[in-house]
Amino acid sequence: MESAKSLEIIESMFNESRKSLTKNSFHFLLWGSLLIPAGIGEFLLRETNYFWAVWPVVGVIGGIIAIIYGFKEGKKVNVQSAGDRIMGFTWGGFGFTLFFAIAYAGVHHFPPHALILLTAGLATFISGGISKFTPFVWGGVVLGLGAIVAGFIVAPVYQSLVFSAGILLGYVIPGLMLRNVENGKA
Amino acid sequence: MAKLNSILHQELRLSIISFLANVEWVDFKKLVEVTEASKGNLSVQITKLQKVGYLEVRKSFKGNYPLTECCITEEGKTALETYVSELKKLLNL
Repeated sequence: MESAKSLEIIESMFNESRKSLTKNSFHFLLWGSLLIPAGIGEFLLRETNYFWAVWPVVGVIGGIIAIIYGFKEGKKVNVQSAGDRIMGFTWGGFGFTLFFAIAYAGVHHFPPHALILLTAGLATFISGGISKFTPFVWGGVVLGLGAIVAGFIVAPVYQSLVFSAGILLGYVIPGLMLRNVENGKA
Repeated sequence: MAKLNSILHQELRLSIISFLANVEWVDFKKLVEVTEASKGNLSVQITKLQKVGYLEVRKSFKGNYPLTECCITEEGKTALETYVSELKKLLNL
């Protein structure tokens, strides 16, 4: 085998293995399509005693769908990189933090929107860096800015609307861009 | 003149090791897909790499189907790094 051919093989296989990094738009679109109406629903129900009920409802629906999907897709996984493992731990940690933030905010009676935007932004930002998918990096930045706006700038009553807007811009739109990339690959 | 590692200086074996260098593990089906080699040839080359200690093979079951997973060893990583640096010397890179 020619030496130059060896270098070509090494380079093409390195590129091939980088392509294998799992990128999955499903969870972004699932949670985005649940969290946006949840934020708007909370705002519309603000005069009632049931405004908080949207969160456990979307949490249970999203959780069940995500677990079923994860179980099915997990069977198809045929390669794992260090990046995949880091992303798994990042989003696993985010899931715990999300649960904790909602429960803590509920117990101590303060709105959780800024904390959720911040932690979702952190996980999205890390995912973008690992997968080299720039829309996720910018999505993470947008979610971080949304956390600042929700936490320090707007009145508490409007935080849920800022939350929905942040999820749309920083989470769903990058998810849709990833969906386009995935469809282009197929 | 630099001498290239004869185990790695073969198209399919070099493809396998180069792919494995960037992942933690890969299953046999995926390796067939990325290398575009026949299952028989791939299996023979994996066994050769396993015998010299460059990769590890784990066999298990996923549901009712047998699953073969491969991962590169530290020895395999070192061998690839040495191979690349020798190759660069040969090509004056």
